[in-house]
Amino acid sequence: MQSIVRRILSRVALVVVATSSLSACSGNGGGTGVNPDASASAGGLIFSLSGATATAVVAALPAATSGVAAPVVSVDGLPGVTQARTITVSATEPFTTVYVQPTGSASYVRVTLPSATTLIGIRVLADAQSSFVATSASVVVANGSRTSGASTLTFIRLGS
Amino acid sequence: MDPRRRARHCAAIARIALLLCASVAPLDAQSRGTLLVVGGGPQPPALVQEFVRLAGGRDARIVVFAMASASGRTSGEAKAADLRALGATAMNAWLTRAQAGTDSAAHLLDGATGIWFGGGDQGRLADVLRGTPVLAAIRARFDAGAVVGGTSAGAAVLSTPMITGDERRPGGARPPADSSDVWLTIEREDVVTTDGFGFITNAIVDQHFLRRKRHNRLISLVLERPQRLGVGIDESTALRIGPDGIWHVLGASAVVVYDARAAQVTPAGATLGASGMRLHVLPAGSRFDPRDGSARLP
Repeated sequence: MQSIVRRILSRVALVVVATSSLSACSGNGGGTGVNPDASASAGGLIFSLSGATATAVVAALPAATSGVAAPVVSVDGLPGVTQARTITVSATEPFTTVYVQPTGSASYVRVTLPSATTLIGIRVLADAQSSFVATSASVVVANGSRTSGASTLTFIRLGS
Repeated sequence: MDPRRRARHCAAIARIALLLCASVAPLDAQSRGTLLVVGGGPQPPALVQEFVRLAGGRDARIVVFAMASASGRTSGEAKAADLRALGATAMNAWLTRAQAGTDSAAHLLDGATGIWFGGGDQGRLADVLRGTPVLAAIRARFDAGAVVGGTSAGAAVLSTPMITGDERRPGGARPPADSSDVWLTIEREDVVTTDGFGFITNAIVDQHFLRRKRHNRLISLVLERPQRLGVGIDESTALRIGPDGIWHVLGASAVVVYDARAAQVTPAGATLGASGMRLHVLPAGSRFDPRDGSARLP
């Protein structure tokens, strides 16, 4: 049952993201209003979320709080320069912030949401300007001072 | 009887009973899945159709893992296309071990009703998936009722122990001049095994069995582990094992079963030999109960 719910929610997230506009520009975080064009890049990947309050590249995670379950993460394929993919992040506890650290990068992309949710879809593109493009990442969600454990994500080419 | 001796006696009996139960248990009691174990070679369309049927027909959602083969990215795509042509939803998941260790790769199995392992080298496939979240997810889907199937290397990997294909002493005391001459002897410590995926624990699976004359290696293994059955599946032939643990033979040829559970086997250190080992040659349409060793021919 949990699996079925998760699949349905994933599809809802995909639809929501797919119908949102995407416009890549540099996000530097710190904004207070909803930023429809929020994006940030790390590890040769550009992450964006329509409706995010802000995106930023940060050097470290906030102090971890034990006992918060790691999110469930999935991605629908290998991101390309023009082919965006969607990372679906869901958690049992509401979250307001998502941290994505591409493998091989010392930095985290921080996506701040306008309100707490248990499900989002983040679009990801390969950065044409980067000589290195990460093929995996770890994802952490947070709400205030509460921080989850990390879930691991891999970008693979799926034959469908 | 002294109470302590009685306690030790009872404990010993309990251990023996547990061992006996473990040795005849076909699969974990809570597993609701089905196995389709194909012996390699050309697959008759009916076997492919049977796999899709077991996975749910037009509702089937199948994930193909073809990492046993160096060309598995291509062959896996072709297999997925074949399955889609039969109405299933199918995708080829070509993973490295690092990828198989990630949570998102494990979620590829969400909702899967069928998992297929392609052929090649079972060691390659086992090295990628063994002990990973992806294999745990496959096992969870199987326990929930999915069908897990494989051919050739993809069949060998289903059992623990798993035959690796390597031989320690080809020819024994008389090594052959031709290195392609293999499995010439029945002897101890010759056949190399390792842990497979453990979907079958009461039997050791061998494949391409009749066409490649692999009797010697399977007999050697069964006599070294007489509590386990040996099941040699020929090409274009399959063993279907349902939640009830009964084996059904499908396809074009036969399955050979060696059962040494009641045999007298020579002790360790002596030349490997046995008396009273049972042999079954089961053509398609046969049924075999691994618990009591009873067979019904078509």
